[in-house]
Amino acid sequence: MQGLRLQNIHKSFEREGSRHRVLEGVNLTAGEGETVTLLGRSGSGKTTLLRIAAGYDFPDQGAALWNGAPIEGPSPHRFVVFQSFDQLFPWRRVGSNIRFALRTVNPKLSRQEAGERAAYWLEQTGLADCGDLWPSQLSGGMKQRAALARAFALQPGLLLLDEPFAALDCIQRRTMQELLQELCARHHCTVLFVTHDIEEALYLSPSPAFLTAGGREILRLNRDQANQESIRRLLSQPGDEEAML
Amino acid sequence: MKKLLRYRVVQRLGWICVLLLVWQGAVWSGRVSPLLLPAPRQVLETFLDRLLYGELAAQIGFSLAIILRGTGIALVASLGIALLSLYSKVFASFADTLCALAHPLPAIALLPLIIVWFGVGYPAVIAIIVHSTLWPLFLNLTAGLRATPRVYVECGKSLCSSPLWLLGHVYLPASASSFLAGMKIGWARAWRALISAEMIFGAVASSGGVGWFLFQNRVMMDTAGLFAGIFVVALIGMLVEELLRLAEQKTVVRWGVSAPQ
Repeated sequence: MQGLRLQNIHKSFEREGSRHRVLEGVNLTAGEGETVTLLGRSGSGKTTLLRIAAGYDFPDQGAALWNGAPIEGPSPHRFVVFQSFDQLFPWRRVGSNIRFALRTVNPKLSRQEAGERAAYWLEQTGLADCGDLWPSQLSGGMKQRAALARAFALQPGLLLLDEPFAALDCIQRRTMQELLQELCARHHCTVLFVTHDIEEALYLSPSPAFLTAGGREILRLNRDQANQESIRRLLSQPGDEEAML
Repeated sequence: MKKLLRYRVVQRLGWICVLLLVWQGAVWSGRVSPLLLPAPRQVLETFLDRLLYGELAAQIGFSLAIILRGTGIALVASLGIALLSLYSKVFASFADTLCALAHPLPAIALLPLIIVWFGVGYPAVIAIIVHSTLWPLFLNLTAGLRATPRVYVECGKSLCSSPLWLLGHVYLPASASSFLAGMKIGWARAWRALISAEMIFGAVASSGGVGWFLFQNRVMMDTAGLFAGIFVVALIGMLVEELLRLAEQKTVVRWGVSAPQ
Protein backbone atom coordinates (compact mmCIF):
# COMPACT_ATOMS: atom_id res chain seq x y z
CA MET A 1 0.00 0.00 0.00
CA GLN A 2 1.24 3.50 -0.85
CA GLY A 3 1.30 6.09 1.88
CA LEU A 4 1.70 5.97 5.63
CA ARG A 5 0.33 3.13 7.69
CA LEU A 6 0.62 2.94 11.47
CA GLN A 7 -0.81 -0.30 12.85
CA ASN A 8 -1.54 -1.12 16.46
CA ILE A 9 1.20 1.19 17.75
CA HIS A 10 2.18 0.77 21.40
CA LYS A 11 4.76 3.07 22.94
CA SER A 12 5.85 3.70 26.51
CA PHE A 13 8.71 5.66 28.03
CA GLU A 14 10.75 5.17 31.17
CA ARG A 15 10.29 8.22 33.36
CA GLU A 16 11.78 8.46 36.85
CA GLY A 17 11.85 4.72 37.20
CA SER A 18 8.27 4.03 36.17
CA ARG A 19 6.87 3.09 32.77
CA HIS A 20 4.76 5.79 31.28
CA ARG A 21 2.40 4.53 28.58
CA VAL A 22 1.89 7.01 25.79
CA LEU A 23 0.26 5.09 22.95
CA GLU A 24 -1.82 1.98 23.48
CA GLY A 25 -2.54 0.34 20.18
CA VAL A 26 -3.52 3.14 17.83
CA ASN A 27 -4.06 2.86 14.07
CA LEU A 28 -3.67 5.59 11.50
CA THR A 29 -3.41 5.53 7.73
CA ALA A 30 -2.74 8.35 5.31
CA GLY A 31 -2.99 7.48 1.64
CA GLU A 32 -0.63 8.89 -0.96
CA GLY A 33 -1.28 12.59 -1.41
CA GLU A 34 -3.66 12.72 1.53
CA THR A 35 -3.44 15.34 4.27
CA VAL A 36 -4.35 14.01 7.70
CA THR A 37 -4.64 16.52 10.49
CA LEU A 38 -4.22 15.09 13.97
CA LEU A 39 -6.00 16.67 16.90
CA GLY A 40 -5.97 15.71 20.56
CA ARG A 41 -5.46 17.08 24.02
CA SER A 42 -1.97 18.02 25.19
CA GLY A 43 -0.04 14.95 26.24
CA SER A 44 -2.22 12.49 24.35
CA GLY A 45 0.79 11.30 22.31
CA LYS A 46 0.41 13.19 19.01
CA THR A 47 4.06 14.16 18.80
CA THR A 48 5.16 10.65 19.76
CA LEU A 49 3.14 9.25 16.88
CA LEU A 50 4.69 11.79 14.52
CA ARG A 51 8.19 10.89 15.74
CA ILE A 52 7.47 7.23 15.06
CA ALA A 53 6.42 8.09 11.50
CA ALA A 54 9.64 10.12 11.15
CA GLY A 55 11.76 7.20 12.32
CA TYR A 56 13.16 8.97 15.40
CA ASP A 57 11.34 6.63 17.78
CA PHE A 58 10.29 3.04 17.33
CA PRO A 59 7.07 1.44 18.54
CA ASP A 60 7.30 -1.17 21.32
CA GLN A 61 4.67 -3.14 19.49
CA GLY A 62 2.90 -2.74 16.17
CA ALA A 63 4.10 -1.75 12.72
CA ALA A 64 4.97 1.58 11.13
CA LEU A 65 5.02 1.33 7.34
CA TRP A 66 5.83 3.84 4.63
CA ASN A 67 4.83 2.72 1.11
CA GLY A 68 4.57 -0.80 2.45
CA ALA A 69 8.09 -0.97 3.92
CA PRO A 70 8.83 -0.79 7.65
CA ILE A 71 10.17 2.59 8.83
CA GLU A 72 13.68 1.86 10.05
CA GLY A 73 15.01 5.33 10.74
CA PRO A 74 14.94 8.98 9.67
CA SER A 75 15.00 9.74 5.95
CA PRO A 76 14.79 12.86 3.78
CA HIS A 77 11.71 11.33 2.16
CA ARG A 78 9.86 11.71 5.47
CA PHE A 79 10.84 15.20 6.52
CA VAL A 80 9.80 16.85 9.76
CA VAL A 81 9.07 20.45 10.66
CA PHE A 82 9.31 20.68 14.43
CA GLN A 83 7.53 22.95 16.81
CA SER A 84 10.81 24.51 17.89
CA PHE A 85 11.83 27.87 16.42
CA ASP A 86 15.44 26.84 16.22
CA GLN A 87 15.62 24.05 13.72
CA LEU A 88 17.68 25.71 11.01
CA PHE A 89 21.39 25.26 11.60
CA PRO A 90 22.48 28.55 13.22
CA TRP A 91 25.97 28.30 11.69
CA ARG A 92 24.60 28.66 8.16
CA ARG A 93 22.76 31.58 6.63
CA VAL A 94 19.09 31.04 5.88
CA GLY A 95 19.57 30.46 2.14
CA SER A 96 22.60 28.29 2.75
CA ASN A 97 20.56 26.12 5.11
CA ILE A 98 18.17 25.27 2.29
CA ARG A 99 20.84 24.87 -0.39
CA PHE A 100 22.88 22.68 1.95
CA ALA A 101 19.89 20.45 2.71
CA LEU A 102 19.13 20.11 -1.00
CA ARG A 103 22.68 19.23 -1.94
CA THR A 104 23.09 16.81 0.96
CA VAL A 105 19.99 14.89 -0.04
CA ASN A 106 20.80 15.08 -3.73
CA PRO A 107 24.57 15.45 -4.30
CA LYS A 108 24.07 15.55 -8.07
CA LEU A 109 22.16 18.82 -7.84
CA SER A 110 24.31 21.67 -9.15
CA ARG A 111 25.06 24.68 -6.98
CA GLN A 112 23.10 26.90 -9.30
CA GLU A 113 20.06 24.67 -9.35
CA ALA A 114 20.08 24.36 -5.56
CA GLY A 115 20.37 28.15 -5.36
CA GLU A 116 17.41 28.66 -7.66
CA ARG A 117 15.23 26.22 -5.78
CA ALA A 118 16.15 27.75 -2.43
CA ALA A 119 15.37 31.23 -3.75
CA TYR A 120 12.04 30.01 -5.13
CA TRP A 121 10.89 28.56 -1.83
CA LEU A 122 12.13 31.53 0.17
CA GLU A 123 10.05 33.73 -2.08
CA GLN A 124 7.02 31.46 -1.72
CA THR A 125 7.25 31.64 2.05
CA GLY A 126 7.64 35.42 1.98
CA LEU A 127 11.32 35.44 2.86
CA ALA A 128 12.74 36.55 -0.50
CA ASP A 129 15.08 39.09 1.14
CA CYS A 130 16.17 36.90 4.01
CA GLY A 131 18.44 34.39 2.26
CA ASP A 132 21.63 36.14 3.36
CA LEU A 133 20.59 36.63 6.98
CA TRP A 134 21.62 34.38 9.84
CA PRO A 135 18.77 32.38 11.40
CA SER A 136 19.35 34.26 14.67
CA GLN A 137 18.39 37.48 12.90
CA LEU A 138 14.89 36.21 12.05
CA SER A 139 11.80 36.52 14.23
CA GLY A 140 10.12 33.38 15.55
CA GLY A 141 7.52 33.32 12.80
CA MET A 142 10.13 33.93 10.11
CA LYS A 143 12.29 31.10 11.44
CA GLN A 144 9.31 28.82 11.25
CA ARG A 145 8.57 29.86 7.67
CA ALA A 146 12.21 29.31 6.73
CA ALA A 147 12.02 25.79 8.20
CA LEU A 148 8.91 25.21 6.10
CA ALA A 149 10.74 26.53 3.03
CA ARG A 150 13.49 24.00 3.65
CA ALA A 151 10.99 21.16 4.07
CA PHE A 152 9.00 22.17 0.96
CA ALA A 153 12.18 22.55 -1.10
CA LEU A 154 13.14 18.96 -0.31
CA GLN A 155 9.78 17.80 -1.72
CA PRO A 156 9.49 14.82 0.59
CA GLY A 157 6.95 12.08 -0.04
CA LEU A 158 5.73 12.47 3.52
CA LEU A 159 5.70 15.79 5.34
CA LEU A 160 5.45 15.51 9.11
CA LEU A 161 4.40 18.80 10.63
CA ASP A 162 4.20 19.37 14.38
CA GLU A 163 2.16 22.52 14.94
CA PRO A 164 4.18 24.31 12.30
CA PHE A 165 2.02 27.41 12.08
CA ALA A 166 1.43 27.98 15.79
CA ALA A 167 3.84 30.93 15.85
CA LEU A 168 2.42 32.71 12.79
CA ASP A 169 -0.14 35.48 12.70
CA CYS A 170 -3.50 34.61 11.15
CA ILE A 171 -2.77 36.06 7.71
CA GLN A 172 0.59 34.31 7.40
CA ARG A 173 -1.01 31.15 8.69
CA ARG A 174 -3.61 31.20 5.94
CA THR A 175 -0.91 31.85 3.31
CA MET A 176 1.10 28.90 4.60
CA GLN A 177 -1.96 26.67 4.69
CA GLU A 178 -2.71 27.51 1.06
CA LEU A 179 0.91 26.96 0.12
CA LEU A 180 0.85 23.58 1.80
CA GLN A 181 -2.28 22.54 -0.07
CA GLU A 182 -0.85 23.72 -3.36
CA LEU A 183 2.35 21.80 -2.74
CA CYS A 184 0.48 18.63 -1.86
CA ALA A 185 -1.67 18.87 -4.95
CA ARG A 186 1.36 19.42 -7.17
CA HIS A 187 3.72 16.80 -5.73
CA HIS A 188 1.28 14.23 -4.32
CA CYS A 189 2.85 14.82 -0.97
CA THR A 190 1.34 12.96 1.97
CA VAL A 191 1.01 15.07 5.12
CA LEU A 192 0.60 14.25 8.77
CA PHE A 193 -0.23 17.51 10.48
CA VAL A 194 -0.39 17.80 14.26
CA THR A 195 -2.32 20.85 15.41
CA HIS A 196 -4.26 22.34 18.28
CA ASP A 197 -6.20 24.67 16.02
CA ILE A 198 -9.61 23.12 15.24
CA GLU A 199 -10.32 25.50 12.38
CA GLU A 200 -6.96 24.69 10.81
CA ALA A 201 -7.56 20.96 11.18
CA LEU A 202 -10.88 21.26 9.41
CA TYR A 203 -9.55 23.57 6.73
CA LEU A 204 -6.72 21.25 5.73
CA SER A 205 -8.47 17.92 5.97
CA PRO A 206 -12.07 16.81 5.31
CA SER A 207 -11.77 14.11 7.93
CA PRO A 208 -9.38 15.03 10.74
CA ALA A 209 -8.05 12.35 13.08
CA PHE A 210 -8.58 12.63 16.81
CA LEU A 211 -6.24 10.96 19.28
CA THR A 212 -8.13 10.21 22.47
CA ALA A 213 -6.70 10.98 25.91
CA GLY A 214 -4.17 8.42 27.11
CA GLY A 215 -3.32 7.51 23.50
CA ARG A 216 -5.89 4.75 23.44
CA GLU A 217 -7.45 5.20 20.03
CA ILE A 218 -7.51 7.32 16.92
CA LEU A 219 -10.96 8.36 15.74
CA ARG A 220 -11.30 9.42 12.12
CA LEU A 221 -14.09 11.97 12.04
CA ASN A 222 -16.58 11.52 9.21
CA ARG A 223 -18.38 14.32 7.42
CA ASP A 224 -21.07 14.62 10.08
CA GLN A 225 -18.58 14.72 12.91
CA ALA A 226 -16.01 17.02 11.31
CA ASN A 227 -17.23 20.30 12.71
CA GLN A 228 -16.05 22.69 15.39
CA GLU A 229 -18.73 21.76 17.86
CA SER A 230 -18.20 18.03 17.99
CA ILE A 231 -14.41 18.42 18.12
CA ARG A 232 -14.77 20.87 20.99
CA ARG A 233 -16.95 18.36 22.77
CA LEU A 234 -14.33 15.64 22.22
CA LEU A 235 -11.61 17.83 23.63
CA SER A 236 -13.62 18.65 26.73
CA GLN A 237 -14.45 15.04 27.64
CA PRO A 238 -11.23 13.10 28.16
CA GLY A 239 -11.76 9.41 28.71
CA ASP A 240 -15.19 9.35 27.19
CA GLU A 241 -14.56 10.34 23.60
CA GLU A 242 -15.79 7.17 21.94
CA ALA A 243 -19.15 7.54 23.59
CA MET A 244 -19.48 11.11 22.38
CA LEU A 245 -19.67 10.22 18.70
CA MET B 1 34.43 59.08 27.40
CA LYS B 2 31.60 56.64 26.76
CA LYS B 3 32.32 56.80 23.05
CA LEU B 4 35.97 55.94 23.61
CA LEU B 5 35.05 52.98 25.82
CA ARG B 6 33.26 51.37 22.89
CA TYR B 7 36.51 50.38 21.24
CA ARG B 8 38.49 47.71 23.00
CA VAL B 9 41.76 48.65 21.29
CA VAL B 10 41.37 52.26 22.39
CA GLN B 11 40.57 51.08 25.92
CA ARG B 12 43.59 48.82 26.08
CA LEU B 13 46.05 51.32 24.63
CA GLY B 14 44.65 54.16 26.74
CA TRP B 15 45.12 52.35 30.03
CA ILE B 16 48.54 51.06 29.00
CA CYS B 17 49.56 54.69 28.36
CA VAL B 18 48.28 55.66 31.82
CA LEU B 19 50.33 52.84 33.40
CA LEU B 20 53.40 53.92 31.42
CA LEU B 21 52.98 57.50 32.67
CA VAL B 22 52.77 56.34 36.29
CA TRP B 23 55.88 54.25 35.74
CA GLN B 24 57.74 57.14 34.11
CA GLY B 25 56.63 59.37 36.98
CA ALA B 26 58.07 56.92 39.50
CA VAL B 27 61.38 56.92 37.63
CA TRP B 28 61.48 60.75 37.40
CA SER B 29 60.80 61.10 41.11
CA GLY B 30 64.22 59.54 41.65
CA ARG B 31 63.09 57.55 44.67
CA VAL B 32 63.49 54.11 43.07
CA SER B 33 66.80 52.62 42.11
CA PRO B 34 67.16 52.12 38.31
CA LEU B 35 68.39 48.65 39.18
CA LEU B 36 64.94 47.75 40.49
CA LEU B 37 62.85 49.81 38.09
CA PRO B 38 64.52 50.87 34.84
CA ALA B 39 63.01 53.70 32.79
CA PRO B 40 60.45 52.72 30.11
CA ARG B 41 62.75 54.12 27.46
CA GLN B 42 65.60 51.95 28.63
CA VAL B 43 63.34 48.87 28.54
CA LEU B 44 62.21 49.75 25.03
CA GLU B 45 65.81 50.22 23.87
CA THR B 46 66.83 46.90 25.38
CA PHE B 47 63.83 45.22 23.80
CA LEU B 48 64.61 46.60 20.33
CA ASP B 49 68.29 45.80 20.72
CA ARG B 50 67.62 42.17 21.70
CA LEU B 51 64.97 41.82 19.04
CA LEU B 52 67.12 43.19 16.21
CA TYR B 53 70.64 42.17 17.19
CA GLY B 54 70.13 39.52 19.86
CA GLU B 55 68.35 36.22 20.03
CA LEU B 56 64.95 37.47 21.21
CA ALA B 57 63.23 37.08 17.83
CA ALA B 58 64.47 33.50 17.53
CA GLN B 59 63.42 32.82 21.12
CA ILE B 60 59.91 34.12 20.51
CA GLY B 61 59.69 31.96 17.39
CA PHE B 62 60.93 28.98 19.36
CA SER B 63 58.32 29.44 22.10
CA LEU B 64 55.50 29.92 19.61
CA ALA B 65 56.54 26.89 17.55
CA ILE B 66 56.73 24.63 20.58
CA ILE B 67 53.38 25.80 21.96
CA LEU B 68 51.72 25.41 18.58
CA ARG B 69 53.01 21.87 18.32
CA GLY B 70 51.96 20.98 21.88
CA THR B 71 48.52 22.52 21.49
CA GLY B 72 48.10 20.78 18.14
CA ILE B 73 48.83 17.40 19.73
CA ALA B 74 46.45 18.18 22.60
CA LEU B 75 43.76 19.27 20.15
CA VAL B 76 43.93 16.07 18.12
CA ALA B 77 44.05 13.93 21.26
CA SER B 78 41.14 15.71 22.97
CA LEU B 79 39.07 15.51 19.82
CA GLY B 80 39.77 11.77 19.62
CA ILE B 81 38.86 11.17 23.27
CA ALA B 82 35.76 13.36 23.05
CA LEU B 83 34.52 11.58 19.92
CA LEU B 84 35.13 8.13 21.37
CA SER B 85 33.22 9.26 24.46
CA LEU B 86 30.36 10.39 22.27
CA TYR B 87 29.96 6.96 20.73
CA SER B 88 30.88 4.67 23.63
CA LYS B 89 29.36 5.07 27.09
CA VAL B 90 31.99 2.77 28.62
CA PHE B 91 34.84 4.82 27.21
CA ALA B 92 33.06 8.04 28.25
CA SER B 93 32.93 6.91 31.85
CA PHE B 94 36.63 5.99 31.75
CA ALA B 95 37.62 9.29 30.14
CA ASP B 96 35.57 11.24 32.67
CA THR B 97 37.36 9.58 35.56
CA LEU B 98 40.76 10.07 33.94
CA CYS B 99 39.98 13.73 33.38
CA ALA B 100 38.69 14.22 36.94
CA LEU B 101 42.05 12.88 38.18
CA ALA B 102 44.32 14.70 35.77
CA HIS B 103 42.62 18.05 35.28
CA PRO B 104 43.29 19.48 38.76
CA LEU B 105 46.98 18.44 38.60
CA PRO B 106 49.17 21.46 37.85
CA ALA B 107 51.89 20.68 35.31
CA ILE B 108 54.48 21.79 37.87
CA ALA B 109 53.36 18.99 40.20
CA LEU B 110 54.08 16.48 37.46
CA LEU B 111 57.48 17.99 36.72
CA PRO B 112 59.61 15.47 38.66
CA LEU B 113 57.86 12.59 36.93
CA ILE B 114 58.14 14.25 33.52
CA ILE B 115 61.87 14.78 34.05
CA VAL B 116 62.30 11.09 34.93
CA TRP B 117 60.29 9.98 31.92
CA PHE B 118 61.24 12.51 29.24
CA GLY B 119 64.45 14.10 30.51
CA VAL B 120 64.81 17.87 30.48
CA GLY B 121 64.68 18.42 26.72
CA TYR B 122 62.14 19.25 24.09
CA PRO B 123 59.83 16.23 24.74
CA ALA B 124 59.45 17.26 28.40
CA VAL B 125 58.23 20.73 27.43
CA ILE B 126 55.81 19.23 24.90
CA ALA B 127 54.52 16.84 27.58
CA ILE B 128 53.88 19.75 29.93
CA ILE B 129 52.00 21.73 27.28
CA VAL B 130 49.94 18.73 26.24
CA HIS B 131 49.00 18.02 29.85
CA SER B 132 48.03 21.65 30.42
CA THR B 133 45.78 21.94 27.35
CA LEU B 134 44.41 18.44 26.86
CA TRP B 135 42.03 18.34 29.83
CA PRO B 136 40.33 21.73 29.54
CA LEU B 137 39.92 21.13 25.82
CA PHE B 138 38.46 17.68 26.39
CA LEU B 139 36.10 18.92 29.10
CA ASN B 140 34.74 21.73 26.95
CA LEU B 141 34.49 19.67 23.80
CA THR B 142 32.55 16.90 25.54
CA ALA B 143 30.26 19.45 27.17
CA GLY B 144 29.63 20.99 23.74
CA LEU B 145 29.03 17.68 21.99
CA ARG B 146 26.68 16.51 24.72
CA ALA B 147 24.76 19.77 24.70
CA THR B 148 24.11 19.69 20.94
CA PRO B 149 20.38 20.45 20.68
CA ARG B 150 18.32 17.38 19.81
CA VAL B 151 16.50 19.25 17.06
CA TYR B 152 19.73 19.81 15.11
CA VAL B 153 20.75 16.19 15.51
CA GLU B 154 17.37 14.91 14.35
CA CYS B 155 17.21 17.34 11.45
CA GLY B 156 20.67 16.19 10.46
CA LYS B 157 19.69 12.54 10.71
CA SER B 158 16.77 13.21 8.40
CA LEU B 159 19.13 14.70 5.82
CA CYS B 160 21.90 12.12 5.92
CA SER B 161 22.32 8.81 7.69
CA SER B 162 26.13 8.81 7.80
CA PRO B 163 27.47 9.23 11.37
CA LEU B 164 30.62 10.90 10.02
CA TRP B 165 28.58 13.46 8.11
CA LEU B 166 26.52 14.11 11.22
CA LEU B 167 29.68 14.67 13.22
CA GLY B 168 31.19 17.13 10.78
CA HIS B 169 28.05 19.03 9.86
CA VAL B 170 26.07 19.00 13.09
CA TYR B 171 27.96 17.98 16.23
CA LEU B 172 31.19 19.87 15.61
CA PRO B 173 29.69 23.19 14.45
CA ALA B 174 27.15 22.97 17.28
CA SER B 175 29.98 22.69 19.82
CA ALA B 176 32.01 25.56 18.34
CA SER B 177 31.27 27.85 21.25
CA SER B 178 32.41 25.37 23.91
CA PHE B 179 35.39 24.48 21.76
CA LEU B 180 36.53 28.10 21.59
CA ALA B 181 35.98 28.50 25.34
CA GLY B 182 38.17 25.41 25.83
CA MET B 183 40.82 26.86 23.51
CA LYS B 184 40.92 30.05 25.59
CA ILE B 185 41.46 28.17 28.84
CA GLY B 186 43.83 25.71 27.17
CA TRP B 187 45.90 28.48 25.61
CA ALA B 188 46.13 30.43 28.86
CA ARG B 189 47.31 27.35 30.75
CA ALA B 190 49.72 26.25 28.03
CA TRP B 191 51.38 29.65 27.74
CA ARG B 192 51.94 29.89 31.52
CA ALA B 193 53.19 26.30 31.66
CA LEU B 194 55.54 26.80 28.75
CA ILE B 195 57.23 29.88 30.20
CA SER B 196 57.69 28.15 33.58
CA ALA B 197 59.02 25.02 31.94
CA GLU B 198 61.53 26.99 29.89
CA MET B 199 62.72 28.82 32.96
CA ILE B 200 63.22 25.56 34.79
CA PHE B 201 64.76 23.53 32.00
CA GLY B 202 66.72 26.40 30.49
CA ALA B 203 67.84 26.12 26.92
CA VAL B 204 66.26 23.25 25.06
CA ALA B 205 68.07 22.12 21.93
CA SER B 206 70.21 24.92 20.44
CA SER B 207 67.92 27.79 21.37
CA GLY B 208 65.72 28.48 24.35
CA GLY B 209 62.39 30.27 24.32
CA VAL B 210 61.14 33.44 25.97
CA GLY B 211 61.28 31.74 29.37
CA TRP B 212 64.97 31.12 28.87
CA PHE B 213 65.42 34.76 27.86
CA LEU B 214 63.88 35.76 31.21
CA PHE B 215 66.11 33.33 33.06
CA GLN B 216 69.29 34.62 31.38
CA ASN B 217 68.45 38.21 32.23
CA ARG B 218 67.77 37.32 35.84
CA VAL B 219 71.16 35.65 36.13
CA MET B 220 72.82 38.68 34.54
CA MET B 221 70.84 41.01 36.85
CA ASP B 222 69.75 42.83 33.66
CA THR B 223 66.52 44.40 34.93
CA ALA B 224 65.72 46.20 31.68
CA GLY B 225 66.06 42.90 29.78
CA LEU B 226 63.89 41.23 32.43
CA PHE B 227 61.18 43.84 31.91
CA ALA B 228 61.43 43.46 28.14
CA GLY B 229 60.94 39.70 28.52
CA ILE B 230 57.93 40.15 30.80
CA PHE B 231 56.35 42.50 28.28
CA VAL B 232 56.90 40.03 25.47
CA VAL B 233 55.20 37.29 27.49
CA ALA B 234 52.27 39.56 28.38
CA LEU B 235 51.89 40.94 24.85
CA ILE B 236 51.89 37.54 23.15
CA GLY B 237 49.41 36.22 25.71
CA MET B 238 47.13 39.18 25.12
CA LEU B 239 47.47 39.00 21.34
CA VAL B 240 46.48 35.33 21.14
CA GLU B 241 43.54 35.92 23.46
CA GLU B 242 42.40 38.73 21.18
CA LEU B 243 42.72 36.41 18.17
CA LEU B 244 40.55 33.81 19.88
CA ARG B 245 38.04 36.54 20.70
CA LEU B 246 38.02 37.53 17.04
CA ALA B 247 37.39 33.92 16.06
CA GLU B 248 34.43 33.95 18.45
CA GLN B 249 33.09 37.18 16.96
CA LYS B 250 33.29 35.72 13.45
CA THR B 251 31.53 32.50 14.39
CA VAL B 252 29.43 31.85 17.48
CA VAL B 253 28.57 35.48 18.23
CA ARG B 254 27.46 36.01 14.63
CA TRP B 255 25.41 32.83 14.74
CA GLY B 256 23.73 34.04 17.87
CA VAL B 257 24.58 30.86 19.77
CA SER B 258 26.71 32.59 22.38
CA ALA B 259 26.07 35.88 24.08
CA PRO B 260 28.78 38.46 23.28
CA GLN B 261 30.93 39.07 26.34
